Amino acid sequence: MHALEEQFSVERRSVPVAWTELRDEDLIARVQQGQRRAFDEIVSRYKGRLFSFILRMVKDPTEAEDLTQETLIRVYIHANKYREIARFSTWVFTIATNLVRNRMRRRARRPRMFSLNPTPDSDELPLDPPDPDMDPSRDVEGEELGKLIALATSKIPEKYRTPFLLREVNELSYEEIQQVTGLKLGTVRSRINRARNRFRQLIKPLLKNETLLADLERLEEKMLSDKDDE
Amino acid sequence: MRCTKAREWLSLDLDGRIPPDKTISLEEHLANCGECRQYHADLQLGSRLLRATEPALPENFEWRLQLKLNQTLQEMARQATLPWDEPERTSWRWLRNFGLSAAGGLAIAAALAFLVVPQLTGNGARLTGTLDRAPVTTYGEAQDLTAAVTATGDLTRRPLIPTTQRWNSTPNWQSVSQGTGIGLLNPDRSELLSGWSSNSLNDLRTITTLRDENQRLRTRLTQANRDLILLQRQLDTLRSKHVDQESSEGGEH
Repeated sequence: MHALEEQFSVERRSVPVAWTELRDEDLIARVQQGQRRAFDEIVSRYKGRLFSFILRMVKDPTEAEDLTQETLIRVYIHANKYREIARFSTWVFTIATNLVRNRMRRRARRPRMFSLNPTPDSDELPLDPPDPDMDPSRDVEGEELGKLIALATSKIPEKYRTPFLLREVNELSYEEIQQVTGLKLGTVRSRINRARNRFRQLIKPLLKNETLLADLERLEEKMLSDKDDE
Repeated sequence: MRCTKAREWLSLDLDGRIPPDKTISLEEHLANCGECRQYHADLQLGSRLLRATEPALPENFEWRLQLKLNQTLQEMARQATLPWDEPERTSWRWLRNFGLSAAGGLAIAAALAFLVVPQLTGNGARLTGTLDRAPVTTYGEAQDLTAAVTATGDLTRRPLIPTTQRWNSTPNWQSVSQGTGIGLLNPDRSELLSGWSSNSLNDLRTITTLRDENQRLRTRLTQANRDLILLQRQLDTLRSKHVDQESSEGGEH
């Protein structure tokens, strides 16, 4: 029996780790032990979600990429500080949110640039609906739709936008958003509600546009097929 | 239920957070309010639009991330200060520690001097007892280094003055001051050593210098031994190769 156990334990040791099957918390534990491959898997899982969140907050793709890198670098360098008291995603998005917040504050301190555009930029104006005669084939992978949604998101005030995006895009729970943002639970709930209300006002013209709705369906199908391929 | 309240519950319902007791009243409201039904549909569509239009990262993102991570780690390694890289700071730290200890020792020595000096001309037995507890009082009497060493313990085992070569330079003041007293720690501070002869001080400096030299030579000797072992191994390897060569040449003939 002893020989069998020994053989089994040797066999188990020699089986390679299926990184994609590990939980985030197990991956970070391996990063803490110095396994760089585990960090690569974390990057693979989080880079898209982080970039999506950060870009919709800061609006500038270069800055968003920079902040996404900074977030992941901090995850690596400070891996030893993570404790499994909270979910790993909560910890990662806390780092990202703080970085975004600091960047926005720094931006706000810069002197205002006065626009030469006589038309004032108002949060209350709904989006201009796209040309209904536009040839859908010109729209590369829903690019037009993506730009409109990004524009709409950018018009939501920052204090509502953060919990809104964390909930809608990254699917963090209310409690996790509470931990990430430091807001009370009731405040998280009400800000998400207000952001949704504002977002709905902004995209109202889109909601009746058949072309863009067709784009949406195509994009969703593509997402599903990409997921199946993986 | 009013529409404003219904829309709050709809937002919670989208996240699966609606309280169970509100579900029925919400459903009743939706059955009767077309605008709120439309609002519900719009919220769901808005979620779909956000998820379907997530922006894509540039393709070389991971490569750039690894590069930046490596650069960050290199920068951190460069900025990390190793104790043996900063002798100046070490000596400043030693100086500061020494200063604090000297001040404390001075205070103790002064207090003891007030207590003990009047008795030096008095009862010898009392003096002995005092000597046992406060070695520093021997300085007043010790006129030669030998007596000081006997009174204060084995100086060869304990360092007198921390050297700048020792990176872990916070000295064990406890052990030093217990045995030697504060006065021996810095022979240059001769004002602390009332009663010491200049010859004793010079001898003390010589001992310290010789001890440091001893340590340096010991290190060099250890290194030389290691080098010798390596050279011997290389020589053995060469010898065995030569022997193999000779035997193969002899075989051919």
